[in-house]
Amino acid sequence: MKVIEVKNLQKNFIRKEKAKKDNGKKCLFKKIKITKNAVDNISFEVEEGEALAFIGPNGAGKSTTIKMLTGILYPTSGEIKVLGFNPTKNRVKLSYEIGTVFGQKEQLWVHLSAYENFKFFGSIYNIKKDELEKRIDELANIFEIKEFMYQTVKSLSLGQRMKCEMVASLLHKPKMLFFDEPTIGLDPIAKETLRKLIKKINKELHTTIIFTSHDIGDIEEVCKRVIIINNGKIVLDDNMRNLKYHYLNKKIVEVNLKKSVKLKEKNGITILKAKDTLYKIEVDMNKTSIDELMSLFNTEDLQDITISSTPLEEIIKNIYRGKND
Amino acid sequence: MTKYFSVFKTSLRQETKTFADLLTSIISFAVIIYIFKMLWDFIYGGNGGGQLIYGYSLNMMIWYMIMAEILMYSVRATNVTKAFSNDIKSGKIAYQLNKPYNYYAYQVFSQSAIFIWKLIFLVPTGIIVGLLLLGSIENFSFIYIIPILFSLFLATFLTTIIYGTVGLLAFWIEEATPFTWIIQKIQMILGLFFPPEFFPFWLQPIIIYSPIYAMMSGPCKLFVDFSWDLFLQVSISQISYIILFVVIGLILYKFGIKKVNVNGG
Repeated sequence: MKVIEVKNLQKNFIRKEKAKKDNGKKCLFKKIKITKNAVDNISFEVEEGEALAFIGPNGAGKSTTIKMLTGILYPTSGEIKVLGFNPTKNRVKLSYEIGTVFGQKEQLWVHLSAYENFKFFGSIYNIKKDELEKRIDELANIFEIKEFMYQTVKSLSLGQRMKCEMVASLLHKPKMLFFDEPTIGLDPIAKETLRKLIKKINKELHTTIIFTSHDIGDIEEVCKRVIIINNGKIVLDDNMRNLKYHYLNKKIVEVNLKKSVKLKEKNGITILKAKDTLYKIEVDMNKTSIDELMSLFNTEDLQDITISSTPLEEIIKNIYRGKND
Repeated sequence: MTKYFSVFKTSLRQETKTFADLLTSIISFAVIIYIFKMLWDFIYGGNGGGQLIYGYSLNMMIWYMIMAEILMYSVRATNVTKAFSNDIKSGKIAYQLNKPYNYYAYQVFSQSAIFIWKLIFLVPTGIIVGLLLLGSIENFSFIYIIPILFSLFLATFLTTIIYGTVGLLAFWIEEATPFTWIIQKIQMILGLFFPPEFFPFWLQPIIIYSPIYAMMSGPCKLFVDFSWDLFLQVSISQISYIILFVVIGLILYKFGIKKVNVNGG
């Protein structure tokens, strides 16, 4: 079942600037309108239970798209359906079905305890008292927050606070959760814990996850599908496995030889760096093989060899830059 | 409506944790009352000597001023406007729009709770300071306390709504606080410093039918010269203006929300 349907979505931001005279000086009163296509005619669909990464560089239009999906921004044109609702017309109804977690903006009242906050959110979402207590207990067990949920939010660590933010977003059993950089500022252990919890929500509670983050590790671990948006357009919409298969085809080989030799580049083999007996070589596995590389030098001269894949982060950076060949 | 009472309750509970801020407010309030008492002593010529100015004795005038200062201290006008306009300008409003409540109503109830919390402490402080400086007020009965508190509560709520509605102008203009500043100064001149009777005859009906009367002069007059007719008149004025400004606020919000322009993320 499709939970998100987006067709030809467009969002223009219009700003006014003072017009310039022929001599280059700014006019005192005359203004001109400048239109920026933040989101430029995009279409995509999301199936129920998917874990989708919606990523792109700063200013690409991903946040604008997410805000249109949640009814915060009004689209200039195009159609959006989220869980059967038009977000702009049924924003409040939709809000009962979705949850949001923003890494950079806490939704909790900081002088109150997490538990008091959960009670508040329960009343906001019209959850009955008994049902709410049960739900808090259930989520407190999953997220392991029982020992600190009675402390004031301001006394919690960032990791603990994010866990509480997630619990607050899940109290009303949303069918879809939007995460906007939930791991920002967290240490590697807290990041790992949070990623596991998001995966757990997706698997065990069958909640559809829409995830935006600049941390490729988050995306790699949590999401099965990735949409990359740049300059308002979708530049890639693929599942993570395909992305890795097609784009992780370049290996970086670092070799240390006993003596200096003159290596010749071949089709698919690029020498990135050569210093004394150390060589850094890029091998395109679609065009050649490691065996082919090994034939370039005498294996008896080999002292040390390291083979690694191009990091996913590097690949995504290249896609952002438009170098996805 | 239950959810907005929950917002009010939660905001009130959060406020109870910031007692130090309240304490400084109470101290400066007591100092201001003392300064104004000295000023009015001078205007009335020594201890007043039973002299009346526009029907107000020195004692009545200072009790009026104490009540007016309570309202002024309870509702920080610029804080209300900024609560709205900062959210709108910075885009923080976006994080509230995906919740199942009306942002305007959420802010009004949340901010009102902060001011009601202050009111709870400033009223007894004002009464104690007044009793110490002036002694008891003439013709005052304790049964008037409940309607007066009701009127103060409505005044606080109305003032929050008015300055909140001004804050919504941030959807269209860069800076809404100058409007608050202007309204606040009018409120001070026509409500805080002098009762309506101190103004020219032609201006008095304008003041009485203006929101300033419902926000400030009306409830303060109740304290110095209580009558059930006056209470009814003030309450009708307050409720009418609450309805009017809520409608204006909701209309502004409805149109303004379409102008939310949040980039980045």
